[in-house]
Amino acid sequence: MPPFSFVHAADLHLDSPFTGLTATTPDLARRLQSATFDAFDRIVSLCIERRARFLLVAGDVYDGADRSLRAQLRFRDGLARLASEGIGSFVAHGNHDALDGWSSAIEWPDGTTIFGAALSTVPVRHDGAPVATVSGISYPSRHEQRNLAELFPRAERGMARHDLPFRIGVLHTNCGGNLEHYAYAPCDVDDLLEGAVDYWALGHVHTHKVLHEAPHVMYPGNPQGRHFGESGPRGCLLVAVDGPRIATDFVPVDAVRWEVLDLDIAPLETIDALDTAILRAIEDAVEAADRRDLICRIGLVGRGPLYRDLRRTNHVEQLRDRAREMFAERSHMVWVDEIVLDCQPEIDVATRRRSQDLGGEILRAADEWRAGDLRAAIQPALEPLLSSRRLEKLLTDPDAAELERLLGEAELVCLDKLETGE
Amino acid sequence: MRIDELDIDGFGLFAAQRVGGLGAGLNVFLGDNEAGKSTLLAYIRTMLFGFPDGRSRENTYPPLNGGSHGGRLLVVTEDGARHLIERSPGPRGGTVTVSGTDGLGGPERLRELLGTLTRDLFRNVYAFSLSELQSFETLQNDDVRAALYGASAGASILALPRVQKEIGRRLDDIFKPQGINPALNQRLAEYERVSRQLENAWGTLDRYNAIASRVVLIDLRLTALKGEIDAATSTLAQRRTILRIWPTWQDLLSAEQRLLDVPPPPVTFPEDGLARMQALTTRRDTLHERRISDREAVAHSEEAVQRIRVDERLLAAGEAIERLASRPASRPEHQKQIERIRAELADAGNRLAGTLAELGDGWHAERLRRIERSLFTRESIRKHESALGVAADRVKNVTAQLGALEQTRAKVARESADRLVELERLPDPGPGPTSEARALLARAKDDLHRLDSQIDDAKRRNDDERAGFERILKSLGPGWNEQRIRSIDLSSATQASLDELEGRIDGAEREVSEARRLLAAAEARAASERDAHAEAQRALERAPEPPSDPREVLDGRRERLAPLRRLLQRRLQTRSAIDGTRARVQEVRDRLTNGESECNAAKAAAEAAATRALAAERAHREAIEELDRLPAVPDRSRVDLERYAAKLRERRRLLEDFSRVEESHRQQRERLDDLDRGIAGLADVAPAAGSAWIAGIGAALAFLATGTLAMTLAIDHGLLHLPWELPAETRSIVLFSAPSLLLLGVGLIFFRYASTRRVAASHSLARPNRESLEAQRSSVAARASGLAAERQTLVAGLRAAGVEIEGKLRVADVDGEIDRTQNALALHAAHGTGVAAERAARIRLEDVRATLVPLDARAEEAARAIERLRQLLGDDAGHAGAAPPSISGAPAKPLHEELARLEAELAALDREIERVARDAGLKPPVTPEDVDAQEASLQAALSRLDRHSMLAAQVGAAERRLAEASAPLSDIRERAALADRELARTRGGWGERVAAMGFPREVGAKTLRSFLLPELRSAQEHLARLAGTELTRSDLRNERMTIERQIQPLLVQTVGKAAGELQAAVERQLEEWRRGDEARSERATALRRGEEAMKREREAKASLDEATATLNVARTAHADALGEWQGWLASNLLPADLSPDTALDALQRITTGIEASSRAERASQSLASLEAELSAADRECAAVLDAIAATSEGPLPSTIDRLMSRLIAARNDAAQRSQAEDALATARSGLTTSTQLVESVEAEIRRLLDQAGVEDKEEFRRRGRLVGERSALREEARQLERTLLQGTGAIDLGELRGQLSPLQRDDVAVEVERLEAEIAERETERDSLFGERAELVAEKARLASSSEIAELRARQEVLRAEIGTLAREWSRFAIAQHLLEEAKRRFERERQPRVLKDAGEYLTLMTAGRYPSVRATLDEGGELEVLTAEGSSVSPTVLSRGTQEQLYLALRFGYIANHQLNDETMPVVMDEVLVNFDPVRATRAAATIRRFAETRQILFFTCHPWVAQLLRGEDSRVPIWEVDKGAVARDAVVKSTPGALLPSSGDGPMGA
Repeated sequence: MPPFSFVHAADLHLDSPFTGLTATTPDLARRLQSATFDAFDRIVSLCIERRARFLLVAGDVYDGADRSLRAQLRFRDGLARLASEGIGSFVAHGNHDALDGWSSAIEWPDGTTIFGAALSTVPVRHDGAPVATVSGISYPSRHEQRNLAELFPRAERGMARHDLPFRIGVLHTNCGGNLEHYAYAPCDVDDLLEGAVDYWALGHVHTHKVLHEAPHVMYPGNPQGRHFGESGPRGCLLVAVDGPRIATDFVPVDAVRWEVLDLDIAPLETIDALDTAILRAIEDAVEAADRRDLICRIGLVGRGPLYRDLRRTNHVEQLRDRAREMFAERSHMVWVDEIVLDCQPEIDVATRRRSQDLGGEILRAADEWRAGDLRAAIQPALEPLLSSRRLEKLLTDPDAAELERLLGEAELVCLDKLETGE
Repeated sequence: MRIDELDIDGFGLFAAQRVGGLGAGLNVFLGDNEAGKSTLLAYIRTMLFGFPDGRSRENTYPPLNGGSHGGRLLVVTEDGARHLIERSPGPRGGTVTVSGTDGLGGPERLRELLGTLTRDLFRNVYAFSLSELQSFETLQNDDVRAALYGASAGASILALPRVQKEIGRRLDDIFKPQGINPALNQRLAEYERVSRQLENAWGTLDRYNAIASRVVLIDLRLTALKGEIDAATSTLAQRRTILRIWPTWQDLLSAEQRLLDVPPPPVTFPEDGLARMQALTTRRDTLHERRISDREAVAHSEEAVQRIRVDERLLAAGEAIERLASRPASRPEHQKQIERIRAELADAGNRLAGTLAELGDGWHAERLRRIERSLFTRESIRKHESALGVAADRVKNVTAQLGALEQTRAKVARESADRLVELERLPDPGPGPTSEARALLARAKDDLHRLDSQIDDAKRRNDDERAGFERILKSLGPGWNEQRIRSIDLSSATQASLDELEGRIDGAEREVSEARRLLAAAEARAASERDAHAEAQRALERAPEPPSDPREVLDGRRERLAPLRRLLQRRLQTRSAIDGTRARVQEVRDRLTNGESECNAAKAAAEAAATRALAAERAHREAIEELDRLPAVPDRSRVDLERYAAKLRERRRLLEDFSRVEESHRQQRERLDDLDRGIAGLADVAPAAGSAWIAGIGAALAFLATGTLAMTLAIDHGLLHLPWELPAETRSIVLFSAPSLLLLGVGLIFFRYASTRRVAASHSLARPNRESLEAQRSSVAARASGLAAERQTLVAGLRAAGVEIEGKLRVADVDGEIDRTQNALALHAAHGTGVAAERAARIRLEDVRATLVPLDARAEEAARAIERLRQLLGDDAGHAGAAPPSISGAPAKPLHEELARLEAELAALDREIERVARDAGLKPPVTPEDVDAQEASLQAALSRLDRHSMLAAQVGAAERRLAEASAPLSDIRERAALADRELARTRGGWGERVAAMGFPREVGAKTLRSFLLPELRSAQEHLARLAGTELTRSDLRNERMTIERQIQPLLVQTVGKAAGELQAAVERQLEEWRRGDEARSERATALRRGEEAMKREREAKASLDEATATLNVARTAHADALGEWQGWLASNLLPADLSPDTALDALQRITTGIEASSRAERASQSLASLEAELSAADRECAAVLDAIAATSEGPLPSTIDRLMSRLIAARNDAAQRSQAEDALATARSGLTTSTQLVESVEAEIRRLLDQAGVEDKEEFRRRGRLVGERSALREEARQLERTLLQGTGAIDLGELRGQLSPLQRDDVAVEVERLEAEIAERETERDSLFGERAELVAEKARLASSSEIAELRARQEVLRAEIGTLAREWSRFAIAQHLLEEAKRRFERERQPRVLKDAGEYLTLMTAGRYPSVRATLDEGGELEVLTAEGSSVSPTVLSRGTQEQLYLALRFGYIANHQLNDETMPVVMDEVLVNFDPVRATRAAATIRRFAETRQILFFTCHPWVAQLLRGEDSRVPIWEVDKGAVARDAVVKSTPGALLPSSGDGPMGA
């Protein structure tokens, strides 16, 4: 069996909007709209440059069941580019782009395999001899609750695998009950290890993960982060197969990098110092982003003397605007979304809590709420917001942790305002 | 902290005032108005908080009685440390220093001492006058308010209302449930708008698919249309071409007809004959004119030659004249030069004579030349002149120098005398004191100064200590003396045991107060819990009845509402899905109906097309049959045949021409023969038989040649038939040799003819007849040879026409052949028509079939579409299993099936809804509104239930709390009793201990600790320091004595012992010594200056002597130089008395004279040579004039000029004549040439006429025109043929003719119109389809590349994020607001500020319980309320002025009591605050103040002695300070006061 390589990608979410940005500029919007496409283009280019034999896409090519027309056409163009280079593609659909979604009259290029609702296996040939088989299955509809891994052929124990084709399984699944993701087509690593598969090309979990090696069970993660929850490098896997040896290489292909930069204000004495620290942090992130567009959010944490200044004035906005300005002229876009005040004043809350003044009373009242039914205590305050029918679908009721956080911030607001008298 | 001492340098009335030893408790300052009490108050404020800002209008109290502005304040802190605060005016409140045991400090140190006490706070709360007390506003100052209300609540309590408002505003800015403008509402509105847009945008995707399928259909139709249009266009183009060339075709036919009508010309005509004739005629005319002009030129030239005459003699003398003209004398300048040189000669002579006269007698030219006047001579004169000058200058300089030196010497001598006089004037002071004495006295001075001040200092300190001790002694009261004080044990052990005792008492007191506090608290709590319980009970009773159903039932119902709602939602969705599906079914049905009708239409169209196809097929078949019926087409092609027929016709014409030529050739030959015979007859008359023989041979040869040629041609052309075949070579030889023979023959005949002419000349008899015959013969022969040539041309033409016919050729044969060929051609044409008809039929058939195919396809497509739609509907059971596959491979469910499924689902949902609704207590049918109503009612019931159970729980809780509160009461009461007992016991122990120490038993711990012990300790310290000071003082005195003894001998004057005197004496002695030193130094200076003056005098004298010697030397040198000069003059032959200047001048004149003499000599030489030349030229001129026989006129140069002019004229004449002769020769030769040319042209014209065989030009022209007309017609026909071929693009003219012949123009025109209409129709359809397609494709591309959805979704996400952020911010503020309210509620309920509580207590004291408490709300403005004994609350503004002041005083006490700053109690200063109180309240207030003064220092200023008395009360220890006109004295005597001023009656002062 001659050595060959292939690229494993998943969760392209083409043409999906970016979330969590509180402001955009026309330029930013344009770049973001093309970011998922750019990342996919980079995957295609990677296949061509590294002479991959084929490309695997393990589900969630598109973001919605509606499958944006633009996304479909761009996806087809990418696959056509691969086909023109003699590189095949295997595509399984997942929960975001299940088969029952709308699709336009698109003809797929030669060498493209779109897995259907039933498991199918396609051989990959080299000089007429099969070097690998690719099995896969797509979600017939969004809410796939079956354990699809069980549909794959079972491994027959003790069988010699010399010179048999390399077996690849393409599946969109929540393996191992990842709580951050919806439990679609749930399965366990053990379920997968029982399958007659040498390489499980999984999709659904957006962070690159190696669940098992030999046989390999891999999540490449999504190739383009779409919100601050998906920060850091994003990409796909380049897999080289040479007989029994399998080498995987994570290749970042994201076009826009998301970063949350936490900055401790404790050692900072002046706004100037903070400004410098922010600019340095961004500069480091720009460096790390390796000539990509960068969207970052600065979180100011810790306790420090600057807290009061930052709370009372619009320094934060000014610092953010300044940072935006400082990086506006870069060849690659650098967007500072927000500077978030997560920091605390220098006051010793424990002492304040014991004090007999109004501040102490506020802290003690909050403590009593915490000790009792926090939700019941706070709910009346939030009633106008939570009872709004128009906001119902946009806002979720805050969970306990969020309530706790809000209360903490409210305490600081009270103390702060009372002290400044504003 | 307390104030111990005021040390005023200058402040208002006060100057250098020290008020020391202020009491630690109450101090009363009594003084009349304007005595300075307020100034003292201001002084304390100023010392602590600085001078008022220069900009404020506050009094800064500048010093009125001298002293520098400011002073010091000595304060003692709780820890006993003393700090001296010193302040003087300056920026920012003045310059302040704080010195204490722990070093020196500035404002920071002061701030440390004052803690958080601010200026305003101090002014309004701690150190206030009546005016501050009367004004409530003084308590409204921010600092003060904060201090008052916030002492326990924290300063922040004041900000609360503002903060609440601010937060409320922020909340409203972010979100309002019904708002439009708040940020979140705006975002939400935009979000909803974007969502709606997005909904619409998704619809565009269906449109994309619809477009894609429509484009495919359009493409199919377009392909079909293109075929149709192409075919029609091609036919149309063909038909149009025919129409276009139709006129040409008609023209061609007509041209061919006309050619046939024009007769052929009878004979040959030279090629381009007419043109050539015209050219020759024109040329001849031109040449003729040229000849005439040439003749005129010759005559003209001859006349010119005759006209010119030439002077030969003058020409012969030409060279001599030229030579003469070149001589110098012949120029006029020569004479002028002679005259100029003569003038020059005269001038030089004059100059020489002048110079000699200047030099004087005895001088002549010869003598001049002898004088030496070289450059060296001049040089030596100048040298002598310079030497003489130098010597004279030197003598002059030295003389001047001598005078200056003389003056200097006189001045120096005067100065020296002055100095001596001055020295005499200064007295001699004698010698000074020794240096040791000086040092000793100087040191003694410093030491004395230091010692005196130290002694003073020690004395002052001694006095201070003494005074301090006395003060303390006084303050301790009678019974204390130095001895007793010394004996008191103040060791740390005693202190410790006292402290320990005091600690125990404090502990016991604290325990008592704690126990009491606890008891009060517990009782209050129990009471409040009782109230709470009662309240809760009442609330429970008031609350609405709870619903009868238990909570579980209600919850159950409510829980079921959610699924019901979901079910209803689903039902709605399903219903809308059913509607959608039904609409789709309807749509599909509509489409089906449309499709069917389209399909039917397509089928009908297809059938119609099929019928048309059948008809076309039939027509086609008939055309083929028609074609088949025609006879077989000849083998040769139509083109060949046409070409053949044309050749035949050409051949026929040639044959006709040939026979005609042959005939005329024969006639000519016969005529020739006749002529020959005639000539021969005449030749017999001629003598020369030889020549006849020759002619005979010539004629024979000519005949032979002609015969051979004719025979050969005949053979060639089949006119002769030979039994043998001539080989080709032979034939060509014959053909080539025949003309040679003919030529030879003709040549011989010509020779004969020439001889005959010669013979005829001698036989003039036969001449006329013969000449005529021979002329005829030569003409006939020429015509014969012309015919032969024409025949030859014809033969060549026949051959070229390819005539190959066996046997003898007859025109008739050719005609037969032509007929046959025409027949074959007709057959071809018929065939062509048939084929064309067949082709037309076939094209039509194909056209019809071509329309049939797309129609079929359309029908089929429509049928397939119907099929698909039916499948989609699920109508056709036969296709139910084979659902059309979608792209992704999932089967699309047929709509009917889907509909059925949905309806089943709807029914199931309805059932489910019914079931759930029943469960939820609703009667079906149920609407979402019902569910909402049910939920609301359930919610209400639940909340009623909740409220009831909550209230019940609250009652329970209240009961529990009441029990809890009541339980510990008895324990606490017991604890209080115990504490009381313990306190009594401890106090007893203290009394014993104090008595043991020698103090009165009743002395309290505080008095002991804060007054007695410090005072005693201070007194002991004073005593100790006093002893130390005494010691120091005696040491200092001893030291001073020593010094006095040491310096006594040095002093001139004896002095007394007084400190100042000794120092003054020392200083006086030192001054004396200094003056002596000054006089000595002055005298030494004068002496030095006198010596210097004498030295300068000596130096001046020496210089004068030296200068006199130098003058003598200079004079000798001048005499030497003069002697040398005179010697030189003698040696140079010049008079001895000349000065060097004059000698140089003479030398110059001599040179001028010599130059003039030389010039005169040169001029006379030049004159001689010029005159010789002039005479030679005159002689030569005379000779020339003789030679040409002319006479001289005027001077020589003009004569020569005239000669030269004549010579040039003569030479010009000669040249002109030779030119004229040349022109004549040229003209003559031109005339000859033109004559020859005219002749040659005329010969040519004649030749042309001969060629055409005509006599004159007229005939020539007529014949030429005929020939031209025919060839023009032929050319026209050829041109038309070419046009036809070009116009149609055809290659074969014959075929074209075949095509055109059967056509009628009108038919073609009708067909063209039909085709045009058809094409236009198709093109319209095509264009509209193209347009539609382009639009669709553009729309498709737009849809494909549209980023609208992406943009909308991105916008949606941004908005969602913004909404989230805003909601979070809103939540934060909402919770903050909620929290603040909660805290405020608690605070108001549980923690009324302690300040107010205490203030209430003080007010109770002062008002004897009339107003038991003070309260403040936390709302904005923080309104104060006073509670009356009856329990109603009263605003302070309605109280009487006195009561208000009591309230404000109580508030201040309340604050001060609660406010420990840095663990320091601050001193309190009050200025006349009791005057508005009624006697009872004044007494109570005074008691309160006294009690207050137990824990802090109070300075009370008043002008009323009764107030002072009131304050002092029974306690005589309260110091009273008298303030009077800027002086403060302790222990003023309080005058007994008149009863009217004292409080008349009432309760006694309330002690603590």
